Amino acid sequence: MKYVAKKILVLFGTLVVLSFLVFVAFQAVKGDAALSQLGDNATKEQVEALREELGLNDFILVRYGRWLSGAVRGDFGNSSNYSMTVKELMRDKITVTVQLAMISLGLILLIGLPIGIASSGIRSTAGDIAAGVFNQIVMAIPPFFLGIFITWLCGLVLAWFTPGGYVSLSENFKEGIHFLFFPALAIAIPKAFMLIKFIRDSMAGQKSMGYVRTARSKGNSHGRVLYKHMLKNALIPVITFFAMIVAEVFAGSIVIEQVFGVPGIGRLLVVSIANRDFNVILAIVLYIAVIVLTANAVVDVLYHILDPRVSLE
Amino acid sequence: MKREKTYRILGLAILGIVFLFALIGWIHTPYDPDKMNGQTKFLAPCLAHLFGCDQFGRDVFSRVAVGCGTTFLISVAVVSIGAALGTLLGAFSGYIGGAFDRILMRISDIIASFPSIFLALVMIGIIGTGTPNLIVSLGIVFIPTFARVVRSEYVVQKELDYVKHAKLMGTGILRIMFIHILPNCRRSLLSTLTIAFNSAVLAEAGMSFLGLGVQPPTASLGRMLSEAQSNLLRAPWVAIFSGLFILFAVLGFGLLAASFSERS
Repeated sequence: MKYVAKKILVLFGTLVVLSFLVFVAFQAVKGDAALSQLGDNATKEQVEALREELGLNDFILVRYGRWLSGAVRGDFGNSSNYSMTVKELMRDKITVTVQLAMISLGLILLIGLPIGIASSGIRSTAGDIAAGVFNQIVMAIPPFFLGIFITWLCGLVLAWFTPGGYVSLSENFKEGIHFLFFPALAIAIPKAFMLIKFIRDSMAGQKSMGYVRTARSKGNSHGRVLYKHMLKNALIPVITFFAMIVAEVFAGSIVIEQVFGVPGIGRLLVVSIANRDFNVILAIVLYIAVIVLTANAVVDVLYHILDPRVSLE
Repeated sequence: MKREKTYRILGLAILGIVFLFALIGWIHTPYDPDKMNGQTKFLAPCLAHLFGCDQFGRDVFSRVAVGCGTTFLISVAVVSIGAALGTLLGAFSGYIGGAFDRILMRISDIIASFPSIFLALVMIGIIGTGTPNLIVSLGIVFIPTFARVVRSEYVVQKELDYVKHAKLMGTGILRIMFIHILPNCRRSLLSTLTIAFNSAVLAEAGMSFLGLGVQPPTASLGRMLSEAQSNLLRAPWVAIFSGLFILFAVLGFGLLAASFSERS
């Protein structure tokens, strides 16, 4: 319990430090908001008055404090690119990205777990090399290239879906899933292969353990030792690996949303960076940081519960 | 042993092809890569235009060659920044230790938990778009990768006898750090270099694909791929060849990295 409390404390501390650093960096490059709002014709007094009114003359810590107290209440200020608050802008888009990520994670497990477990029993030098090279190729495919390939093959040639024809899940659930399946597939395939490789390596690492020899010497069949004894232990490290996958899936969706025209948070991030819309960038950065750091913290705790030998430090 | 060799030979061969194209791009391309030509619009691959032509009638072969060159130069610049600063930080952190080391490693632990494409986006968000900014942003992103590897080497090496002897003989700390210890880190540095190149190529292509990296009219593989997207049915070869060469570059470095990890 103490361990969990400490984890949560560290998590919040990290988030505050991270948001402060990005906040300061943005303040430094942003230029004078008062000047850009009034234009070049404004007198010095006018600019100064507006600066005072916007609170730009305050010490940086005061300004950060003001931003933070808004942020914890969900108020991230206004977008300079769209005439909307950041909160309104992000609300629907977060849902879309989370749905896409969920489907991707499901696909990764559906593809990766069975193949990884089934193939971990088969080992030969030539087969290993072939599988290794194939794995390298799959992991080297840039996600956007895979996305374009899927658009071309499934969308244009086979006409299984309409490229760019996004349908919201809440509007039409079946159509929505139908469309999101393809971008999710583009995100999931490379990660599924990473998972397969990880399971195979983890199983190979168990092979030399004492308990495996004991189980074999007691007359257990090869398959029984493999799937009954080794699998349970081999899957524990896979959980840490999954935290990394969660982070990668959200990063992957930034690019894939652009390829498939999914109106999610990733697309908003790219547009906001191109337009230097700092309030929106800051909010999205913080949002992704929360997800990545939470996933890591949860996995650390889970890992500790499943394998108490792991020290807490 | 066998696996290590297969990976290395395959990786070097693939990188050789990409480098050959980069050379063609730097020295002489068969056509002007930026010259538009109404008559060769959407021309399929043929003998005169090996990779076909794009929506403006530009020769895809020439553009891919120039794009390989751009990708190569940017990756070298990015990895150099990351390797130089990362090695410096890692060396001091590992050799001196103490609070400086703890704080630095805590920061790089946090950074390492984020995917590099996300970090690159944040950096570009701060610095801005365009090629020089892209190089600086990605370079900074790769600093922790090198710092962690070099630091862990220094922590081990500084306890070894040769370092203790050098200290007893009154050798200066900087000399011990960079003339005595650094050469002994070459193996792990080399393997980190291949991993860094692998991610740098992918990150450059990704950023240019998103329109945040190399700006037109400069030919870049990622940019070509994103432009090809709207003409996938009429001219799939533009997407195929630009995408294939990104894949080659990433795969080549990936195989080299795998050969190093097999060795250890």
